[in-house]
Amino acid sequence: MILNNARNIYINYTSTVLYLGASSGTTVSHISDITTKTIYAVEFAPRSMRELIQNCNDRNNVIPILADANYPEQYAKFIFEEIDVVYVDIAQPNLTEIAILNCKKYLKDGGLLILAIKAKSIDVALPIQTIFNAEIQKIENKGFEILEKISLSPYSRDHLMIIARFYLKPT
Amino acid sequence: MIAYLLETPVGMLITDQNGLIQNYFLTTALLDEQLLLVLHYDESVYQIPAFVQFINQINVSKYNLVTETKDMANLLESKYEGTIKIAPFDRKFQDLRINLSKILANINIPSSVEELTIISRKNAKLFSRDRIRESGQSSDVHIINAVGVLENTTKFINSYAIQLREWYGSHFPELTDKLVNDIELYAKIVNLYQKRDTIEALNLVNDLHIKEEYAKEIEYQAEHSMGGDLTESQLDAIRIFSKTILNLIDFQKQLENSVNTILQELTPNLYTLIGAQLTGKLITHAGSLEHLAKIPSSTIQVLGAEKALFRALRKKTDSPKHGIIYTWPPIRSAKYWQRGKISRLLSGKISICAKVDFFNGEFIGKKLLDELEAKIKDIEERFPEPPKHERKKKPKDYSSKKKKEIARKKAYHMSKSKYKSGIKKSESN
Repeated sequence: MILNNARNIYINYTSTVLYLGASSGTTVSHISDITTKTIYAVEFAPRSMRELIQNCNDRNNVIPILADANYPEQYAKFIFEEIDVVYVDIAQPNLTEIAILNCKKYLKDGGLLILAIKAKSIDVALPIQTIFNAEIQKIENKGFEILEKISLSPYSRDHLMIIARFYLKPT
Repeated sequence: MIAYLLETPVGMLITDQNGLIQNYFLTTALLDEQLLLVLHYDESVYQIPAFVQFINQINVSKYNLVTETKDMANLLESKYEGTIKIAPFDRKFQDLRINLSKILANINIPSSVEELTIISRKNAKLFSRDRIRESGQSSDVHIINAVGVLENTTKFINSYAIQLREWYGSHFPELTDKLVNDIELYAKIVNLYQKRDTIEALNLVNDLHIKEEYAKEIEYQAEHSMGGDLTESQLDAIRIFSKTILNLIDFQKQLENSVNTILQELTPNLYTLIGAQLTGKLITHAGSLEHLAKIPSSTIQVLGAEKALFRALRKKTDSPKHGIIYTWPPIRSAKYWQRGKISRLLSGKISICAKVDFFNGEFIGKKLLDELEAKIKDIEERFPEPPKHERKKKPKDYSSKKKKEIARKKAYHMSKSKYKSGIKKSESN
């Protein structure tokens, strides 16, 4: 993302982050170095969670939650503050819908959504650009303002990073 | 009066619209086991006195409760006398949550953000660890691992077998796979005698219980061998290697037995229908028995042939007929034009068995197997000849990459008939 001339990494030392698809926690650990606030790391697979819990033993600002991001209310009981950034990095066909659901529930007005779209996990048969356009359309329809689109090639193929601003009442 | 049931790291709070706390149930003082019950919305929370007290208190007030989670509503349903509404996406909850520190300060609960972080982190870890423990107890994990180890062991044995034949062949090249096909017997001979001069028919018969004629043949070949002589230390190295192979074979047998036992208990129907090995492989590929029971039979049919399937979807070639169910002997031995039909049939039966096994139904494996065999016979009788029509032509291979991309895009957007004319057009160009 940075290597491909991103303007900003959008996460600073006062960001509270809801991270969906934490996996074993590599990116989570980077974010935890940047921010002084809390990171809610949500992951669904018990196998990855095993690593994640051990990896964030020494990181007091990471809250590891084993839950399904399709149902954002399930981890409501662990959240106790304003969410500035929702970071979505999941390999599901409905990842955009999941991202929108979570923003709708938790993200503050004017907060940021950072969405990593993996084209191949949405549809293997469609041309990549068609998939990206469809997903961007979905986000824009929900009143998000797209700030930046960054292709992650050649570091990871067929990935697009979307940064969008969320408004509670679309203007 | 409308009241919000807010689940927080410190417990459940009931607030009015302005965020004033009406009642609360704190979980901070609970033991870990009790806390887990609350986090899991387990029915046993009614055994915690503080929770019962909390329910009694809200029963007096009879709020019109609004809650975020369905689980919470289900939990309260049996005891709570007022109405409950589920509204997971009501922003009111998040608005309340933002001011949690302030809200909690009103009832004198330690509530700085740092303290809340510690409590929430502790709860989340407790909850996640418990769910990891649960997943570790599922027998799927053990089957998947055992089947994986079993497959790898078989691979090891096969590649070691080739190497042992190569190595010992320098000393006794006549002991080929034509003479001794079974690697276990081969390794035993190497392990017992090492030097080919010491191989005697009588010993072979006594030690390894093989036929006398066969043993004599081996002895004859040993006497007239063209192999080179090896030193003691060289032979010793070969002996150690052959011993390892024997151990591996032993281990493979034991593991196979235990996998069989596990599968027979867990999935009796699948076991009867397709045997242990294929059952294990299917569960491994699907990820769990639950998933295997939920996916459609057409998916089961091509499990393991993902590469071919996606190629078929992309390039509109023929889709694969079978994935790992190909290892089922009747499919492998069937004629090529019958295989697709049989594998479609088999995957249907597998799907039924997986569903019955997952939901602990009764034993129907034998009945299904009989049905299946009858139907396979029927297919063999009805389609004795290969089909006469020509097979579908493969899409033309374009030389340049760009043309391929164009064809792929066209292929997606056009229907089949249009697609063909599309190719003709680009050909004429």
